[in-house]
This record gives sequence, C-alpha cells and structure tokens, in this order.
Amino acid sequence: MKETHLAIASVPCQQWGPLYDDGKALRQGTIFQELDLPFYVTEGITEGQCAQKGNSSQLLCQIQQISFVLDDLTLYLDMHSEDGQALAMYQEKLAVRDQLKKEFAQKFHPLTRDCVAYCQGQAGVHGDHAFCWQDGPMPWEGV
Amino acid sequence: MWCYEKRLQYPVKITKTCPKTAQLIISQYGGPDGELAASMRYLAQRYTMPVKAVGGLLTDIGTEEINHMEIICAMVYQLTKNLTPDQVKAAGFDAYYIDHTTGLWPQAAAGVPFTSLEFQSKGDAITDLVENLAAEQKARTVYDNLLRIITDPEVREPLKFLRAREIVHFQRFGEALEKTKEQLDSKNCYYFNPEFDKQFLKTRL
Repeated sequence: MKETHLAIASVPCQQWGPLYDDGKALRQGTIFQELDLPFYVTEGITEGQCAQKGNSSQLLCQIQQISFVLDDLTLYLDMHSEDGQALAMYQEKLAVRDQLKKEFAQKFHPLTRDCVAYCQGQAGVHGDHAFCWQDGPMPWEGV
Repeated sequence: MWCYEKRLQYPVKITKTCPKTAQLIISQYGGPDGELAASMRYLAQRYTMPVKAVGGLLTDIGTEEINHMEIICAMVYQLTKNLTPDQVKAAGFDAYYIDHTTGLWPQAAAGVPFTSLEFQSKGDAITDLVENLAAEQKARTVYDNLLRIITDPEVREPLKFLRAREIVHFQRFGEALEKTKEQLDSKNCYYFNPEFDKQFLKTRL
C-alpha cells in the first residue's frame, strides 16, 4: 500500500533533513527543523546554551541536551532503521553521553543505577561508605 | 523493565508559587488527554502489534510519555510548594487541597479523576494507530490552550517543549500506520484485522 487509498489516513514519511544543534533542539522540542511547528502565541527560537558555570548544573544541562537528541533520534530510527546518517549520529552522541554520565557520577552523583560504580567509595554527602545512589537532589526539586 | 534516570527530560525550575496554574496544568497529569493516559495507552497497545517495529515505537513513545508525566508533576509540585492557607483560598485551589493537601494526584483540570476510560486499546492495529494520531492532536490542543493563557516564562518553556513532542509523535505514528498498511490487502484495507486474523498477513512478522 505505497500509494494513498480512500477511507484510510496517510501521513508522508519524513526524509532526513536539516537539524538543530543539541541546545536548540531541546529548547524547540525536536532536532528536526521541519517538524518544528510552533503555536502562534509562542516566541521564536530560543538559544539553548548551557551556562558556563563549571558546576553540576552545567554538566547536567549538557547531559539533558545530548540525551534529548538521542530520544528524538530513537523515534526516527524506530521508523527509519536503515538511515545511515541517523545511525552514525546516534552512535556518536551515545558515546559522548556515556562519557558525560560517567563524569557526572565521578564528580557529583550517579544519574542511573549503573553509574553507581563510578561514585561508590568516593567522599559523597553521606561519607565514603554510604550507598551513593541516594546522593544528589530529586529531579523534581528544580535545583 | 524500566531503569530510572535521576533527571527530567526537560528542566523545570519554577520560582513563583501559583496554585491556579497548577490546577490547570494538572490536567496533563490525569486529564482525558494527559501524559498518564498517553503512556498507559501506548504501553498497553504494544503487546499485540503485528509489526514488530511499531511495537518498539510504542514502547519508546510510551516511555517518553512517562518522562512527560514526571515533567508535569514537577511543575505542579513546584507551583504549589510553600503554599499558604490564604493562597489556597484566594486561588480557588481549596477543593483540591481539601482532598490531597499539596500531594500529587492524577485528575483533570475540572477535578474528574483519572480513569482508563480515557484511552483505548482495541486490538486492531489500524484502529489503535488512528486513536494515537488523535491522542497526540488532543494533547497538542490542551498545550495550545494552556499557552494561550499562561504568561510565566518559567511555566511556558516546558509547556512549549511538551507541545512540540506531540507533533513529533504524530509524525511517527503516521509512519507506523504506513508500515502497518504495507501488511494489508492492497484492494481492501479493512478485509481483516492485522492483529487478530494473522493468516492474511503478507509477511510472517
């Protein structure tokens, strides 16, 4: 059923196209420029640079941006599994994300349970021997 | 299984208490077109999807909707943090406060509790994917309605993000529908139910 038929909906399949950088993608809610269709009451494109503070919020901001690129790419690849450009970008971003998550756990606290290995034994808020999974603020606190 | 990642998909940092806004936004937690209904819809539908990649997509979008539920809950939580009894009364948040104080509970803006009647898992891939296309549009309309009347930029930014995701998900469900259509009878797309009458499927999936 490649062609359109009566009495059933059709949505054109997306072609790989121009992308936003990681920061802008998170701000706009998609990496794909062609899928960015804002509502009339919303402001234009906002820049999404992470503040250069050298602290946990800067690193978390970078993790949020790169993780979102991977979220959006995952859904694209689910439906376009043979797109070489998307796959190459996925691999590249995944490697960076792994590195950033590891760095975050070593410097601050683990974001995932498998990052506990990177912070355990370090002087956390509860001391060297406490379980570090509970370190760090809850994500809904907005800190 | 699911693995928790201790961060929000989109940052929420609301500094101004506003129970009135919380009462509107809570609809995207437990309302008819909310994120809880969205995640439950997709995660329920995926088991019987005849095209494996579509079941995978439902898992991934259903998972993202849980992230969105967490964003909405974080917004409601921050908007009602440090609430005084006077603010509760002045903002019309009193009815919610009587039953839940400032705890999070899934309900619509008008107070109707969350129910699974808000979504469908029909056991027919075409029916379910069309339901999902409609669901994404309904949620987009709710975000449009919120964005028209909410002015606080700290609240608007996450709402804009969530609205944009509805459009991307609509595109992906459209592509999932195209993939599913490839398995149907080319002359009569309603000749059989691809989830139940598997003997008619073009390829064994």
